[in-house]
Amino acid sequence: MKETVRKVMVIGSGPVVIGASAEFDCACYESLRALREEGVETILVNSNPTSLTNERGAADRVYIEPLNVDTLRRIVEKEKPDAILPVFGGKKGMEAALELYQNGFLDGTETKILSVTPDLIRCVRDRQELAEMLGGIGIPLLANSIVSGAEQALEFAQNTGYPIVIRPAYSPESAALAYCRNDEELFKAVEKYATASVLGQVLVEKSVSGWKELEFEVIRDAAGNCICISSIENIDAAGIHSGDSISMIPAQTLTEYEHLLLRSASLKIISCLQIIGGCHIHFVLKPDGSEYSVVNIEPGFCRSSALVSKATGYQIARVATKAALGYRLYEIKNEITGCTTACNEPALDYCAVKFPKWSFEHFTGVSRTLGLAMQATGETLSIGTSFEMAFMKAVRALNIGIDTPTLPKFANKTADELIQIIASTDNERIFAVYQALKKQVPVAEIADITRIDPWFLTKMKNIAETELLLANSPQEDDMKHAKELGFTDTAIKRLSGTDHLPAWSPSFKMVDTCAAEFDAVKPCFYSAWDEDNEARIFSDPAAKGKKKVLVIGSGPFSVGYGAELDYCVVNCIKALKKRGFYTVLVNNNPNAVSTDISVSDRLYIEPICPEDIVNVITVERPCAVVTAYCGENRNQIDSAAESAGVPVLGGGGKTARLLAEKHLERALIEANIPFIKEKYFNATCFEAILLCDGSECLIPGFTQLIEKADIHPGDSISVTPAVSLEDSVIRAAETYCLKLAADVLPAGMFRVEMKLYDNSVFVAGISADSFYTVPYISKATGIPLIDFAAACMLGEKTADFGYGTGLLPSKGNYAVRVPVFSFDKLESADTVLDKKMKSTGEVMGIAGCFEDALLKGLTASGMRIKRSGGVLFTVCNSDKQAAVPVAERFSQLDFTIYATAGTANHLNHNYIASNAVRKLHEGSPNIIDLINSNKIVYLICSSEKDRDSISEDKAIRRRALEKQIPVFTTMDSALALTLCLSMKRSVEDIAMIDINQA
Amino acid sequence: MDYDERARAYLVLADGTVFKGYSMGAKGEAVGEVVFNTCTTSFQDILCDPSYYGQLVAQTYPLVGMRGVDGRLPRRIYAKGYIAREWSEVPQGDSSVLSIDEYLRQNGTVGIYGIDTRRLTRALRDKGYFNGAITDKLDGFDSLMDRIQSYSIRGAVDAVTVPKPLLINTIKGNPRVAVIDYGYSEKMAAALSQRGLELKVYPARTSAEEILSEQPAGIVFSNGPGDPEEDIDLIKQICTLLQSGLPSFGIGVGHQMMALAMGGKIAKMPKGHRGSNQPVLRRVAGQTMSTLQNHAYDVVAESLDDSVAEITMININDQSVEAIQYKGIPAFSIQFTPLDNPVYSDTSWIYDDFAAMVRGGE
Repeated sequence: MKETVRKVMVIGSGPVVIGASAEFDCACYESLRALREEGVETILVNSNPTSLTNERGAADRVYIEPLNVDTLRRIVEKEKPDAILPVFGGKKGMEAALELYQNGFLDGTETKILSVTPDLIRCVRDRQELAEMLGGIGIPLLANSIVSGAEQALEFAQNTGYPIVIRPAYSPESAALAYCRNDEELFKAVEKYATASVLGQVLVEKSVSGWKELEFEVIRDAAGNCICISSIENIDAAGIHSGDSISMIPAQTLTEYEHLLLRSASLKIISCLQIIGGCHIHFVLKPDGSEYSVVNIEPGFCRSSALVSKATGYQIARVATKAALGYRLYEIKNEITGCTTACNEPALDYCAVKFPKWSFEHFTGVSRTLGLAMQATGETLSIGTSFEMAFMKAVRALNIGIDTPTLPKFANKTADELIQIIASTDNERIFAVYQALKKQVPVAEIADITRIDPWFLTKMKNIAETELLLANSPQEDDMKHAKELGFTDTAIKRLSGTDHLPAWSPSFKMVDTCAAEFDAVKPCFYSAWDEDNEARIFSDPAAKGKKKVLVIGSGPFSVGYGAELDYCVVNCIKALKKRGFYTVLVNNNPNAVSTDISVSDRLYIEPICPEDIVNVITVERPCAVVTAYCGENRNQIDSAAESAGVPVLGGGGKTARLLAEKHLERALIEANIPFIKEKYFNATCFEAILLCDGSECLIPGFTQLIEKADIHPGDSISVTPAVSLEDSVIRAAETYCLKLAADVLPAGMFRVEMKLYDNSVFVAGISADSFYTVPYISKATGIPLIDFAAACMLGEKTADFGYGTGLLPSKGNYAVRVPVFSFDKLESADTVLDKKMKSTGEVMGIAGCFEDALLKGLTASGMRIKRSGGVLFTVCNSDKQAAVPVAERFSQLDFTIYATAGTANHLNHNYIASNAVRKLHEGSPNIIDLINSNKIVYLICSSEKDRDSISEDKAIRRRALEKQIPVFTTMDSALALTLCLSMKRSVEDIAMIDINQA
Repeated sequence: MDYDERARAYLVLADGTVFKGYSMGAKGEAVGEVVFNTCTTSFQDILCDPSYYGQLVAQTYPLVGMRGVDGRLPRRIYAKGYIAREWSEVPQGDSSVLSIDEYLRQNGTVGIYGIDTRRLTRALRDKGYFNGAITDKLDGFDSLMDRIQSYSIRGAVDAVTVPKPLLINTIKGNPRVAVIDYGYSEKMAAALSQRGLELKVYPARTSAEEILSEQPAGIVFSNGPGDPEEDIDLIKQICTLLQSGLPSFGIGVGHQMMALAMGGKIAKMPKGHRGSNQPVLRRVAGQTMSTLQNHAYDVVAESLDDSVAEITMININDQSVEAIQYKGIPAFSIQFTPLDNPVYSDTSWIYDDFAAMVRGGE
């Protein structure tokens, strides 16, 4: 221990939203591990229940509380930490910590901020100050200015010339940006974004569309020693957000001079900012190398840091944490080699490719055009001995149904059509580029249109030519060549039309941070098709005498298959390790905690695809495989593993067949359990996680969904234990669950959806692969669900867990789960909910009563809770009756009610006074003008699915979203809000709960 | 790298291991010492660095020459051969940019690509030192093995040193520094020139008396290839030069030979230091540097008496000697080659220090 830091508060990043995914969770996880290694007492605060860092016991004090300055202040007062580590909390955590400092809440305390100097970070947030600071060290910042109105913006545009970019000023949470080519677009954008900024200002910026985009990751210690960990090159040129760009590590197309130039600028910047820890710097470089600019600086940690960390093996968060405690880089051991230190710049001997994954199919009306705001929900990392191999693996790992870059929808397009397609920046453009290369469109022509460097296009052309070669009676050498470029056996067989492939076997190489200069002690592998098989050569003494289990990770996150799967994977590995198994993990998600080398005994960075998994099985020969948490590909992986002769823990294909609706219905009828197929409106929905051992089960609690509406359960606010179910209902539900365990379900963990309709309980569905509530219920009930699930799969009896069987009584606290959406990041997506899950993350509020827990949850979700003002109703006919009690309560709480004609009429009939507002098509002033007038604090707006005016409703919802007005599209959730408000308490009046003690 | 036109080539190691690959650059045979390098850029600088004389250089990063090499500079390649996994074509029609393949061919340097360079690196790492050969045919394997096994880098200094004295940066009034050339690098010369020093580069075998008679303001013992103990005469010259009391600065092999001259010992390292990320700690300041290295010998720390020398820098990975400050004489030496790129370097201060010593402003 170098400094007198004995107690540290680590700030998490809150819910997963587009642009801030689980990468910060990885960082916090690594950081906590580093702090505990040093014997430092840890306090962790994060509102996101899916996080692995706010588990019971993950830190010495664990607070699942709204992530804002009030919470931080209260924790500082209560816990009196020596220091706060804010750099792994993303923008949200960092801003809260800075606010804490700036508001003087740390004055007079012993608490200091580690890793960053708040005043210098403020400087990074303010582009003007940053420009001056960088100017002082001779580094150009992208030309920009903060302006207060359209006229000033116009002046800037006249000086720099179009195109320019506009975004809200001083609004770190907003990713909104607009690209303006002329005055008209500029005026529109200024008007739009001025409102999103706290001060009503916008940032105007010179557009560098078409320039190369490069990122550098650097790290520094308190003595001023700094190294460059790695560079990233974005294959898509500037103009597409780096999070939406395919990227390669390390940078490929720089000259030595350009590389040194940017590397040195990065080192100068981290030194100038006096950061003790990591820093990420994002550059644009004119393709001819004549000019460069800093675009953005991320002090601390960001998505790209997680990517670099996983792609190079350099544990950025761990090293940054130890550096913040006062260690010098050369005093921090490299855990992978065991013999080098953190001041060794990683030497890569492979190519790493990152490919973003989008979830557009979940949203209605969303634009798929990529631009300056990030839209991807996840990403995959793939590693190979060539760019081609890494790229091919990445394409597979996306799980979009292709194993080569040939996308069926483009297969029959002509060259001219393809050229049209690649002129736009849609998220499938790269596949159109590939198809164009296959159609012999020259590299130079494509480079001209897309601004993708010819080097990358040439590599893609190499893949395209090989694909064509395979279709043309290939020789054995051709097939081997294809294999080296990353084609799967399946693809080679399909393309060549032959079943006879040359004999070859998979081989694996190690990610070791040192290009084989030293022997690695922590095994992380990627497949290659060489003679040496390091996975076989590496012998781990820890494996001796242990049975080996292969755990399949989730791959890239998407809506519906998010960080909760990784929560399950990590806890499953821990459970298996605890029970004496040697664990092997396959995963390719750089934002997943599971790809931290400390989690499993062996790690494979590979696609979660049948052939890739079988290759790992061939080398590792595990005694069983866990596929329960691998997400949407589960069925395929199950059958691949089973056909490779490895049993799937929890039943695999057999269980999946059982749970298929037609089989399930019969099984339930036989077991005499009522089953409901049709969706009933106004049925109370609730669910339970069942831990079944083949005869009995443990039910940690019933979770009630607030929404009765027919939306995806993951998008509903929910509460554990259930708040409004009568004892008789609970007893009936418990009986059915016990029956399910006894007569229907095999050993394992299941999520059972139930409905209360007409005072009877029905089972509505059973799922074995959709676990978004698992982390939340674990934390709400204190039951380590995944640990017990592993025990169940391994044949242990539920009764032996120490909690008895059946429904576990509640411990007294209520925990509310509030889904969090990223609609603001998805241009033109409608915010209305339907059966497709739309939330990207969630928060949890925990308190002694439901209303308090809900208030915490809503606050944590980022909702601006207002206690007076106007509430605007515009609801569809089927919701009109349900809107009455909502409006009544708001009215009782002295809110002013506004409503569109039909709704107002209905409310007035029910004796609720409301001010009628014109709809959009009814002339002005209308509903949009009202929203713009800042009189509205909540919008309650629902639409009939088939209604013609849905586009008008959508426009209203989007406008409210831009104005950061909470939008409710169901009456149930709005009603729940009024419950909270009627308690007349603020979050600060509600006690904070240390999860370790709950 | 046209897939259809690849010609077979082989890399044969002294233990008989054969790597099958394809020919790059000139065809034929090259026998040498096989070494690896972990750089991901600067491929041309490596080929042109005299310290790679007699060596077959293997790049651990699988891709080389993504931006080609500068064809305008007729720089001599010192490496004996080049080994890579994959090289990149460069756009046609720009004569100032050559592909690595073309560059090697124009210089008559034999190369091989398409081999598992990581497997090679692991072999080199585990077994220490390896001779090997790049060849385009395996007939006469036994005699090839003889050539490989009997190979050693001999007379490296004589092969790379300037044939006659050479003046660099002659500007009136600038102090003139004598550079004893064991294979100096152009970048080192440029760094010193930029600091206002005039350089006179002497062939390695120039007598101490001749050098001293020209009254230099300082002496540089340059970096270069080979075994520092190979030629005792060279060490004797250094003894004389150091006794002159002139500010002296040794780099690489020059650093090792200075240590020998001062009574120290040299040892062959278990596996040498190769690559761009060798971490060095400057003890007094607690300052670290990422350095570029390619050497197999080092100064034995215990062999230097405390009264004679102080070890000022060490390698963080294996604690080996990276820099020495001599006592009683104005001399210091560095194991690695300090970089002095125009924009940034964490080692350029070393040149500043020496320039200051020469100017007497220390």
